Amino acid sequence: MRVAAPLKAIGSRFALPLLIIASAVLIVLNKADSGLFERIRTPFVDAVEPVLAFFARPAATLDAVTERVESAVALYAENQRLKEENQRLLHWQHAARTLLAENQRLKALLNFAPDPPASFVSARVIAHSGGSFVRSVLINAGRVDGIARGQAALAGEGLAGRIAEVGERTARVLLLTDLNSRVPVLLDTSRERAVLAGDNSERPRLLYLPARAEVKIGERVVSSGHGGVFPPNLPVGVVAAIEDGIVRVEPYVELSRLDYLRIVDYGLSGVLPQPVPPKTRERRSKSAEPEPPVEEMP
Amino acid sequence: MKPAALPRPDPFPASALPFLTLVLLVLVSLMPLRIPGYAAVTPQFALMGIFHWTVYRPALLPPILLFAVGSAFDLVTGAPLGLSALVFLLAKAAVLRQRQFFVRRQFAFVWFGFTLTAAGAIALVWVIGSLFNGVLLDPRPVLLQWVLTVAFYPAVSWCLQRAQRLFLP
Repeated sequence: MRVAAPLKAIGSRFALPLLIIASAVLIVLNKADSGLFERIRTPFVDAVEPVLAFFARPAATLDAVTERVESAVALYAENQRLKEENQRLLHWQHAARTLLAENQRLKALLNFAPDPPASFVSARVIAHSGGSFVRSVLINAGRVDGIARGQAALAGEGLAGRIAEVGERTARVLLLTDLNSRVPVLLDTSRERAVLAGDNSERPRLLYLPARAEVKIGERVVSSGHGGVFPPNLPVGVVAAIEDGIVRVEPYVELSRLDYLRIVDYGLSGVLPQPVPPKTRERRSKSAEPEPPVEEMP
Repeated sequence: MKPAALPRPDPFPASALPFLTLVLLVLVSLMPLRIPGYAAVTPQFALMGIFHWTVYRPALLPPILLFAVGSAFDLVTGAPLGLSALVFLLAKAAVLRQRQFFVRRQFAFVWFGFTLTAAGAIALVWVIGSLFNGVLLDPRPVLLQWVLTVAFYPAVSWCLQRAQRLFLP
C-alpha cells in the first residue's frame, strides 16, 4: 500500500500529458491505417447501438410533432398544391405507361439484357456526426440485414450516400456531402459526365467536367453507373450554382433531415477496391477529362 | 420488517455525476435532430461539461475518463480516433491552468472563459481536420458552431449546477 500511494501520485501527475501525447499519436496512426480502426469501430458502434437508438427516439418524436404542426398550419395550401400535382402526375402516369409498354416491346426486339432486380432494406438514422470533420450518419441495420459496403442509400427523391462501414447491426452511410464522397454522375440533358465530389459543404461540386461542357443551372444530375458501384439514372440533384468555374449541385435529398434511409442492393457492390488506393488529387485546371475515375473508398 | 429502517441504497456513487453528465452530453450531440444544416454546426456539448466540471470539481473528471469518452465519441461519429480525446484533454489542461481565475467569480466571467476555451477547441478540430484531409475546410460552419456552443453554455451549466447541488456534497 505504501508503494502504491506515490505511484498513484506520479500516475495522476503525468496522466494528462501522457494521454494528450497518446491521442495525438492515435490521430497520426489513423492517417496511416484507417483499416485497423475500422475493425475497432464497427463492433463498438454495434455495442452501443441500443443506447444510440434510444436517444434518437426523442429526436424523431420531436420531429414528428413539429411536422404535424407545420402541416396543420399549411393544410389548405398543401391540399391545393397536392391536387395540382396529382393532375400533373396523372398525366405523367399515362405517359409512363405508354413509354413502359413501348420500352418493353423495343427491349424484346433487341434481346436487351435486363438489369438485375434490386432488393432494399429500410433503416432508421440513429446518430449523426456533427462538426467540421465528417458528413455521415449511422443506421440501425447491418450485416445481418444484408447490408454491404458500397450499397446505395436512398431517401425519398434521390441518392443520399453510400454504405462505407458495416457492422453486425449498424452501418455508416457516407453522405454525398462528405469530403471523401465521389460519385460518377451524368448531366441529364447535356449528357456530360463528371464526378460529384463532396467537400463537407452543403452542396457538393462537380469535378472532371469537360472544359467545353455547357452546364445550365437547374440541370438534373443523375448517377452515371460508371465504376459499377451505383446503377445509372439514380436521381442525385440539380445544378444549383456556377461560380468561378466551380459547378455546385444541390442534392435532391435534404441531407440534414434524414430519418429513414432505403439501402438498395443492386447486385453491383463488391466492385469497390478493398486495398485503399492513393487519394486522387483534384486538378486545378479545367482540363478535359474523358474518363471519370473509378469511385474510390476513403 | 420495516423498509424505512434500512439505509437508502445509492443508485450510483455521487462522484460519478460528472462522468454520467458528460456521457449524456455526448449522446445529446449525437442525436440526429432534423433541423436543416444542424449536423455541421452541432454545438460541442461535451466541451461544456468538461469546462464546467474542470472549473468546479476538477478531481471528479480524471484525464483517463476524458480519453475514454473522447475515444468513444470518435468511434461513433467516424472522426479519426483520438481527435476528441485530444481536444477534451487539451481543454482540461488549459482550464486547469486558469482555474483560480474562475472559481468564485461571477458567471459572466466564467462564461467569457468558456468562450475562449471553446474557440481554441473548435479551431483545433478545424486545423486538424484541414491537415488530415489536406484541404482547407470551410471556416463558416465552424464559426457558427462556436457561436452556438457559447450560446448553449449558460443553459447546460445551469443544469449541471443544479445536479451538482442535488447530488454532490
